[in-house]
Amino acid sequence: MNRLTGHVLGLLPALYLLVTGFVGGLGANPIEWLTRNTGTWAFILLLASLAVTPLVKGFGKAHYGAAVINFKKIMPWRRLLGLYAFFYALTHFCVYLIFDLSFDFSFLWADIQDRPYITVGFLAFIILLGLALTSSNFSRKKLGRNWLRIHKSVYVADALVLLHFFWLVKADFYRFWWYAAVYIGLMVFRFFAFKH
Amino acid sequence: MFTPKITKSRIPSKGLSENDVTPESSYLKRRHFLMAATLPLFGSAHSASARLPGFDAKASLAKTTHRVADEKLNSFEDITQYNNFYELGTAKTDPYKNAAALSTEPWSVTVEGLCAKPGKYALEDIIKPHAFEERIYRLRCVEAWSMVVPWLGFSLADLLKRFEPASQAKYVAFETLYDPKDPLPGQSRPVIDWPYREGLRMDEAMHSLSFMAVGLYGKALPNQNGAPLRLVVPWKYGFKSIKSIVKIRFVESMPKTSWNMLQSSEYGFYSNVNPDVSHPRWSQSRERRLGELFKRPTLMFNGYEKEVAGLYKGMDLKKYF
Repeated sequence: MNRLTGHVLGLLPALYLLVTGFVGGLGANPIEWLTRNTGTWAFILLLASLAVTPLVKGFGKAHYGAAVINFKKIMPWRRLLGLYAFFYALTHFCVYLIFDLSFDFSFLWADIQDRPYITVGFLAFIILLGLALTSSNFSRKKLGRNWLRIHKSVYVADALVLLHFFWLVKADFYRFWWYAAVYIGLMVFRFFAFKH
Repeated sequence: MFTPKITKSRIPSKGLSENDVTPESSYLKRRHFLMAATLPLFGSAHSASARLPGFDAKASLAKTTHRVADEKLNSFEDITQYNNFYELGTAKTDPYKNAAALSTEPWSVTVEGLCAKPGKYALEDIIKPHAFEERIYRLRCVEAWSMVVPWLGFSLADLLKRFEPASQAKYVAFETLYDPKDPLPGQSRPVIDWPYREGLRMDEAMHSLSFMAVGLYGKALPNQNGAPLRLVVPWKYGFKSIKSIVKIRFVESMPKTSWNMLQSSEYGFYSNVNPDVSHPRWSQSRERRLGELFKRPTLMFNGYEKEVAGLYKGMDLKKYF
């Protein structure tokens, strides 16, 4: 329940991707596999990061019989998991830029203009980039009160990622609705629990 | 980290002299044999047609009548482990994993509608009169990936003519297996309004490129590839090439087709491969050939423009996509 555990959680998907890659389990279309998996893990970690505050505020110090779990200790995970989410999103974006677009920025601009799922995905990426760049303690001090306001834009980024996902589905929305339910659940919890 | 999956020769080069240079046709046959010999390793379930009398003999006589110049075949693994066959699940690897759930024995095809010889035909009777040929075609999925497949089968026109379609029959409709009492794993949820439906205009169906496949790589179709009988229409997006066919119906007006029913703004009846007409959500101008890392340009009518463009003369392909 400390910082180290947070790092381990954030790195586990990378370990999974690397091991699967070396064992050769990527299948017939490794680029599609890599794009899909880095995107999925970025989103899962974003949601995990979003779940930290509700866990801390909702449970605090929880007693389970003799065991005590101090959820307050996981507070550092919020930033850590958010940064790892950005790391996977960055990989996701790079795989797309290198292998789908052959590093051609005119293709990128055309995609952003013409393909709504790319438009929202790219916007989410830009927001996450901004948040990652202003995530240090130094920035936090510099930005003062505005820091929290700025970093609440992660709610918008998450919604855009959800839309990015929605627009990619051809017919089977089964998995989409699970992600949507978690996101909506966490937002609703925030709305009711922290209304001042 | 990335393992290219393009087929390479598996024939050992040891001990070969200059005299042993192999003509391409026997080279291909040997490769097929070797591919077939290793099939059990992949654990694919095989269809009833493999056990049909005479299947193997006909398969071994099959000549390659159509090939794609300068493009490598995709490996058997790629072709059989990366599929869209929603009846067996919506993930690309589901059809391979769930292949055993599809039982192709016994199999029959119901022929209905505007023809002189409707009826319920056993698979054996469908296949019996046809000699097999091999056709190496590109397959372009609407999702912008593609592969090159050596199909085994016979001309669709030759099959359809046997039922003597009436002159009023302007279209032919196809249906995939669906038993509501015993659905396939993917059919337990209404992802699609089952059964899966497809159709062709009569002149498209009678075109010499339209193919009824019963096998690939010289062997009976694995279940995940649409055993025991599937359509292959190489100039259209892959979803037009309906799998595991149980019904053929000759009709006068354009039949309903599954993807069009699901989202008519995105999937037209024709669904010809066309790099200039994008899917509303993604571009169709380029594609990723399985086994390649970067994308390549998509060809008009998937590279079969010379053969099929005439079918659509005067039609606005942006409107009739």
